[in-house]
Amino acid sequence: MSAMPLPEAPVTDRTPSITTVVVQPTPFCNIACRYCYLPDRDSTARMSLDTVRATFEAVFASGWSLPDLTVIWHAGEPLAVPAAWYQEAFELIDALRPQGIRVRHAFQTNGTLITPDWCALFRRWDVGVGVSIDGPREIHDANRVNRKGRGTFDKTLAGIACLQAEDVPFHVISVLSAPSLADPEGMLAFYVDNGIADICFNVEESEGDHVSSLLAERSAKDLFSDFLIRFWHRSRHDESVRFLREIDRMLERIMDPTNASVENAQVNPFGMVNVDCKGNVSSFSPELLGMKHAGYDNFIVGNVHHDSLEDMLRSSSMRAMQRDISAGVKACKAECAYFSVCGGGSPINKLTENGSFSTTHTRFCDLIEKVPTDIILDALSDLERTIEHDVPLRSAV
Amino acid sequence: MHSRNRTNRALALLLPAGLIGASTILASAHATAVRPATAATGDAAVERDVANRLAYIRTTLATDLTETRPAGTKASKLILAWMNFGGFGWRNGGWRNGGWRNWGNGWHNWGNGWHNWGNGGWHNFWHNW
Repeated sequence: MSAMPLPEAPVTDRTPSITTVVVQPTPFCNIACRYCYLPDRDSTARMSLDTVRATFEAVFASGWSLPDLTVIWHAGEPLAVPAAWYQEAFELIDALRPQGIRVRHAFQTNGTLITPDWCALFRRWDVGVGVSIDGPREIHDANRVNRKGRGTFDKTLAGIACLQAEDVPFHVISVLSAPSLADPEGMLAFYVDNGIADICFNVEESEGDHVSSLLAERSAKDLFSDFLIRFWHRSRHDESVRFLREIDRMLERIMDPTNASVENAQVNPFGMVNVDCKGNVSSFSPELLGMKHAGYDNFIVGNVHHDSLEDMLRSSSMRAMQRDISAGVKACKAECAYFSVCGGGSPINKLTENGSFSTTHTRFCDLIEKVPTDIILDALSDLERTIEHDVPLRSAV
Repeated sequence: MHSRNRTNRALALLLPAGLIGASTILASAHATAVRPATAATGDAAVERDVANRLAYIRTTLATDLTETRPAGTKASKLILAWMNFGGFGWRNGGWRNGGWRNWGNGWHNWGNGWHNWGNGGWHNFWHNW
C-alpha cells in the first residue's frame, strides 16, 4: 500500500500540544503472554541515558508541551530495566524540565518484578502504576505465561501485594477473554478479595500473529455490554470499586460541564510523542513503533539524535499520516453519532481493522465508545423515568 | 424522544454528586428501572437520537441547572440522604472529592490514558492504557 501524493502545505497549521511522551526503554519482556503480538520482545536492547536526554531536550525545546506532561514508560516490560536507571533518567528529565511544566511518570507493568526498591522509586517520584492482571488464576494463567509456559499469576499477585504493603497507589488493566466476559461477578469478587479498587478493562483483540477468537464473533459487542452492565451494577451496589474506567471516563466526557470538544490526542500530530530505545520517533499511537508501512516510512518521523520536533512535523511521513488521519476524523465527524465523545477514533485500529487511517467505524469503536455511551444514556433515561414517576431509587443490583 | 425538561431535572440531580456519585446514581436507576416497551426503530433513527441526546446533555450542562433540580421527589430525597451520610459513593464520601475533571489529582492520563494498549503489548492492548 502506498501513500497518495502529499499536499503542498501541511494539512493543519495548528500548533501541536504534547500531552504524553511514551518511552520504550527496552523492547524486552520477561514473560511471553499468548496474546502478545510484539515482535521484538526477546531483544534486551536498552535505551541509553543520552537518548533520554535527547528526547526531552527535543520535547522541551519545541515549546509544545502542555503544562502537565505525562511520561509513560512502556514497551516490553519497563521494570526489566533496573530501578537505578530510572532514578538517573528521572533526575535527568527533571533537570531539563522548564519552569511551568510538571512531569508525571507512569508505568504499565506485568507486576512480576515489583520489589520494595521499586516501590520506593514509585513513591519518591509519585509514579502512576498500572498492573496487568487478567483476573483469577485460571483466567490469568490461560494467557499470561512465562517463556516456559507457566502461569505468572502468583508473581503478579505478589507484586500487587508489595504495592499495597508499601502504600503505593495503583490501578489494574485486565484483558477480557471469553471466560472472564461470562463471569463479571467472579471477576468482581477477585478484585474485592485482593483489595483492587481501580479497574480498567481491555477486550482481547486480534493483532499481528495473534488471532482472537473472541472478536471474530459478531456477538463480542453484546458480550462486552452485558459484562460491563453487570459489573457496573454490582460494583456500585457494594461500593467495592472506586473507579471503573470504561464507565467513569465516558461519563466524564458525556457530562462535561464545559461542553468542550473532546481532545483526542491520537489524531493530532505530536499529541503524543512515542520514542523507542534507539531514539526513533512516531506519533498518534505507540503501537506504530515497530510496525511496517512503505507509504509512511514505517511510521517513523525522525530520530531524537538527529532531528528537532519541528523537522519531524514537516517530515513526509508525518504529513502523509496527518493527511490520512485527518480525512478519517472528518469522515467520523460527518457520519458518527458518537463523535462528540470520541473525537475521531483510534487511528491504529482503523489501520489494523480497515487497512487505512482514512476510514471510520471499527469494532474497537463499538467496544470502547459506543457500548459505554449507550449504557450511560439508557441509565439516564431510566433516571428520568424514576424522577418523573416519583419512584424510589434502590441499590444497584 | 426525550422530554428536555425531564433530562434537565435528571442532570441537575447528577451534577452535584460528582463523578463517582453520578456513576452510582445512574447504576441504581439502570439496575432497578422498569423500561416501557418501545416500538422497534431503525439504526439511523437510533443514531440520530444518540447524537441529539449527547449534544443536548453537553449544552445543557454548560448552563446553570440549579433551578431545575427536582426537590422533594423520592429519588432526590434518597440521593440527598446518601450524599449527607455517605451512604453511597466511595467509602464515606470519597466521591465528594471526586469532582468532575479532578480525578487522580488532575492526571489527565488516568489508567495510562490510552484506550489503546491491548493484550498487554502496545496494541492488543489498546486500550492498554
